[in-house]
Amino acid sequence: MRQILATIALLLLTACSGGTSGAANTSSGGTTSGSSSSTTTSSGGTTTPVTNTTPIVVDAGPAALNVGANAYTATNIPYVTITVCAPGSTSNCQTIDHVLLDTGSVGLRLEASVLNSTLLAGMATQTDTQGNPIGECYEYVDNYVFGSVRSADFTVAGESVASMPLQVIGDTTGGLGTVPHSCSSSGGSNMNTVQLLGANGIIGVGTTVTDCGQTCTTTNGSGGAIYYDCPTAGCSAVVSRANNASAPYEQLINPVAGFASDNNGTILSLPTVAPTGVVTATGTLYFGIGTQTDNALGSATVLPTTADGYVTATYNGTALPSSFLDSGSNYYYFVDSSITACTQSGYTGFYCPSSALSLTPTIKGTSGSAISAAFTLYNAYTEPGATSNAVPGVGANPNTQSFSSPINNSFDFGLPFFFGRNVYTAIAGRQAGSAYGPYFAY
Amino acid sequence: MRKPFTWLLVPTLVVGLPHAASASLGGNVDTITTDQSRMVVRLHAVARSGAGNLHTLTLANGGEVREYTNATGMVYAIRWTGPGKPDLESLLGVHFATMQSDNPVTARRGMRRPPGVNRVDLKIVSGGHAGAFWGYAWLPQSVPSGFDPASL
Repeated sequence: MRQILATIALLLLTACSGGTSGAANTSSGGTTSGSSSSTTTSSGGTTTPVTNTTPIVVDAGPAALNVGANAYTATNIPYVTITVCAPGSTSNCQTIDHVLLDTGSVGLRLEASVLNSTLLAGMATQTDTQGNPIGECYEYVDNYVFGSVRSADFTVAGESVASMPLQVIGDTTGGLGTVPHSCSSSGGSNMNTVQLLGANGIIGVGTTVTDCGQTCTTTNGSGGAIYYDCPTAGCSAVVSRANNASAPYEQLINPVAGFASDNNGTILSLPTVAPTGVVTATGTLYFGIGTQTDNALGSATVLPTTADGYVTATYNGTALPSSFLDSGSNYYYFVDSSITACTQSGYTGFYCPSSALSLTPTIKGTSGSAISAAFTLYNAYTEPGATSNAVPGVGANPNTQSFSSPINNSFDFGLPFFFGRNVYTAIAGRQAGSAYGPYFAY
Repeated sequence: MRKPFTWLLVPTLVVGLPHAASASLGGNVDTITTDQSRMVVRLHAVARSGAGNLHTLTLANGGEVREYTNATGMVYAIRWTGPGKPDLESLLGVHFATMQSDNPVTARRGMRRPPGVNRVDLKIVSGGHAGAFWGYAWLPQSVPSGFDPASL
């Protein structure tokens, strides 16, 4: 059964991608609503390929995951392929696949181990007022990444950003070899290998323009990002970095915000996936909202977020004000101690209902009404196929060891929520269709 | 009800300070001053809370750390919110190692979830996403009677 589903998905992909001319014009695999057009017609009547789309693949991940004592294959992780070049060069470039597409963070971060040495040397490290390299610590909810801040010409689909700051995770050049205490003291570990990150890099296309904002613009200023002065003796002093929303950039920017056009947000379009899952699901990432014929807001409901990127979900009558939609979360994460917990080894924290459950959370933005976010929850142990890398309807308690946690304020709508939907993420301060970001819409 | 009193602090360096032998969670009230020196704290407010005090540290980045002490001056619970995580190594003290060991980075091959601890003598619940974090930590064997972590 799993093999058959995978074959169908591949056939759909093949069928959809025929007949288009632009390199970036691969269409989505079976998504239905509102995003089928792939060309625009100019006033002269000739067609110009729209180059604001790139494929999303949800598969086993880069080969480097599945080696050694901690070998694994990715589950529910959406990847895209991007290209980076040394600034100004059209030959010192590298195309990098399996870059994690994350609506819950901001900035392009690549593992040093996947970059060839010529390109790494060509991507100049940003320097501070003392002429020392800039290092960065960026915190995710579970772990962090530490490395250098360099500049590269970034390209994906037909969109590009010249001299865009990016982070090279695990770059140990000069004084970058030791993670500063003020970074490691946030908890977790440095995800400085492809296997630890689960990807060759991560591209954060969340709701803000920069990865730290105003809080990093003063000396000692730090938020989710911490920028360091990195002399050869090591990184320690925290330096200020301007919150520039246009070139020259100092902080890492949301790559989409740096495009010349289609720069107000994204649409993640992923196909419906059967409950047992599929080996590979393929969808489409659209750049821009309401900027082309293929990325209209249409009938999607806009859910304005707080400055922190939160919406309010209501689940079983309880309002959960720290809720969000996040393609970088690989399951639904929510607290419901009335649902049977899995007891199998390796499944601690997952939900294992004896039969499929229809759950009916709603989501409300900072204005407007609540809309349905209903979904079917399946048994996390018995339902997904053994070879499935894309599985819908799997949920878990976010604090796996506290199944009856007294703290209940968040519903994280992870990647399963994105299957069978077009999910819009609009960037703060940018008009995207009829509304201004920050918002989610679907 | 006594009015809360507050005082302003001169921001101090975040890094490069020696590590204190004692820690905040489970340590005495003096360790809060150590926490202050490890983070860029703009304001430290103290208010009565039950038989002890609530110390609220307002961070320069807009984040907030609340530390609850009991009648003997021992810190029994902490709550944090903010755009970046606070210095959890300082705030959690000896319990930081427990959080680390209970949440190995290799666990990411399964769930990608916030760190948590559920032990008889230590509870940690956390969450959020990049740029907006929150967390709770408390010592069940040291909390006042009727303690509700959701009220922190």
